[in-house]
Amino acid sequence: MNYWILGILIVLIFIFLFVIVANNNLNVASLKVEEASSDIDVALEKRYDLLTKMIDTVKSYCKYEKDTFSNVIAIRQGMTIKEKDKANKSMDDAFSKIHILAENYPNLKASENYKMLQSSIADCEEHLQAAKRLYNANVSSYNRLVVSFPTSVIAGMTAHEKLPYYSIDSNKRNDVKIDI
Amino acid sequence: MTKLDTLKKYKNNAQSLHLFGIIFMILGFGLFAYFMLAQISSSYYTYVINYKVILMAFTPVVIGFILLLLYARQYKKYRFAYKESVVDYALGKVFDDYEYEPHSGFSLSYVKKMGLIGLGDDFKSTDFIHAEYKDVDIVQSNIHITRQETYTNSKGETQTRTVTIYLGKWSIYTFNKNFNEDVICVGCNFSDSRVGGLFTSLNKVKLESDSFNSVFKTYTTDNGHTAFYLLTPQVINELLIIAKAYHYKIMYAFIDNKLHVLVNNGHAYFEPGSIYSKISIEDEVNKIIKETKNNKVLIDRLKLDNQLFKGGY
Repeated sequence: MNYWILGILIVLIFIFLFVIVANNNLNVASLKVEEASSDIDVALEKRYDLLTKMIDTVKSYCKYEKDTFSNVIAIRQGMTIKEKDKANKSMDDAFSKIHILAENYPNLKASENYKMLQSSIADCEEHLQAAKRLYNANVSSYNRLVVSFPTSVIAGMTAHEKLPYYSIDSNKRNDVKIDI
Repeated sequence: MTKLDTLKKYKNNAQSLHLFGIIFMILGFGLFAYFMLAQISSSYYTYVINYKVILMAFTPVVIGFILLLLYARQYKKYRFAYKESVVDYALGKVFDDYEYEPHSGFSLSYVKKMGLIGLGDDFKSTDFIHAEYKDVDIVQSNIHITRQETYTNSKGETQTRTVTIYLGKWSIYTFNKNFNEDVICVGCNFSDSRVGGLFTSLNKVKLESDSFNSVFKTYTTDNGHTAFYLLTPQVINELLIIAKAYHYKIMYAFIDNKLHVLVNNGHAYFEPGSIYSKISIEDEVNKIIKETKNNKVLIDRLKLDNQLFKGGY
C-alpha cells in the first residue's frame, strides 16, 4: 500500500515539474516574441522618422507636391502586427512616390541630404527586415510549443495561443531558398 | 641571376643534400647492422670488428648527419626565397597595392583577445598580408598552433607528442554594415573553436534557413537581431557556398564592423611543396594566385564593396 502512495507521489511530482518547465518554456518563448515585436517597433519608428525627414527634404525641392504624402500612417505605441504591417505599407507607398518624384527633380536627386537619407533608409529597411525575420523565427518556435504535445496541454490551460506571423516581402521570402 | 634562378638553385641544392644525406645515413646504419650481425655469429673477431664498426659505419653516419644539417639550412634559404619570389610575385598579380611580410603575422595577444580559438602550447603566425580590393580592406595571416599531449603507448609508458590543433588562415575584411554586437557562426567541421559551450555568455540563434542551421552554430551577444541583420538570406546563401568549398572547416565572426574568416583545414598556405615535387614554378605561382583570389571572390560574393548601408545618418 505504501508503495502505491509513493508511486503516485513520484508521478505527481513529475507532473508538477513538467508543468513548471513547460510553462516556463512557453513564457520564455512568448517573451522572446514580445522582444522581437518591440524590435519591429523600433525599426518602424526609425523608418517613420526618416520618412518624415525625407518628406521635408522633398517638400523643399518640390513645393507643389505637398498633398502627395498626406496618407502616411503615423507609428504609435501598442499597435497590433496587422496595424504595424498597414503602417509599413503606407510608408512603402510614400517611399515609392518619393522615388518617382525624385526622377523629375534632378536637383533633389543630386542633393547630399537626399543621398544620405536614402542610405539611412536602406540600412533602416535592413534592420526592419531583420526584426521581422527574428519575430517570425521566435513566433515559429513559440507556435511549435503551443501546438506540439505535451506542451500543448499546458498551453491550453494557461491561455497561450498561436501567434500570427509578420508578412515578409515576397521577393525577400524567395531569397531564403538555398541553392548550392 | 634572377630570383627564380636563385630559387631553382636552392631547390636543387636542397634536393642533392637531402638525397645524399639519406643515402649516407642508410649506408652507415646498414654497415653498423651488418657488423653487429657478424659480431654475433663470430665472437672471435670482436676487437677487430668493433674497430671497423667505428671507422666504417659511423663515418658515413656522421657525413650523412652533416649533409642533412646542410640540407636544413639550404631548405630554410629555399623557403625564404620561395616566399620572397613566388608568393610575392603571385600576390602582385592579384592585388595592385599590397603589403606582404612573410615572417610576420598576427600577435598572440590579438588572437588571445579575440577569444575565438584555443592557443595551445606553441603559437606561430606568418605570411601577413594587407591589401585592398574595391576599397575593402583585407588583412590575412597564416596560423599554426600546436599542443603537447601526453598519452600512454601500448607498452604502458607515458609519452608526449605534439599535436597540431590549428593550421590554416585567418582573414579579416571590413564589412559593409555597421554593427555593435558580435555574431559568430561556427562550421560543423571547424575544430578548436572557443565559442559556445555550456557556460558561454553568448546566445545561440537559429536562423530560418535549415541548411545553414544544419552546418553552422550561430552565436550572438544580443537577442538575435544583429544575426538576422547581418545574415540576410543572400549572405547566408553565399556563406554556405564558401563554407562548402572548405568542407565546413570554417568560422565566420562578425566583430567590430569586420568579418573574420577563420579556416582550420590543416593546409599551410604559401608554403613550398616537397623539394622532390615535379610542380613547376609557374604552377606554384598559379596555385597561390588561385588561393589569393579567393579573397576577391568572397568580397564579390558578399558584395562587401557595397557602401549603401554605411553612408547614412
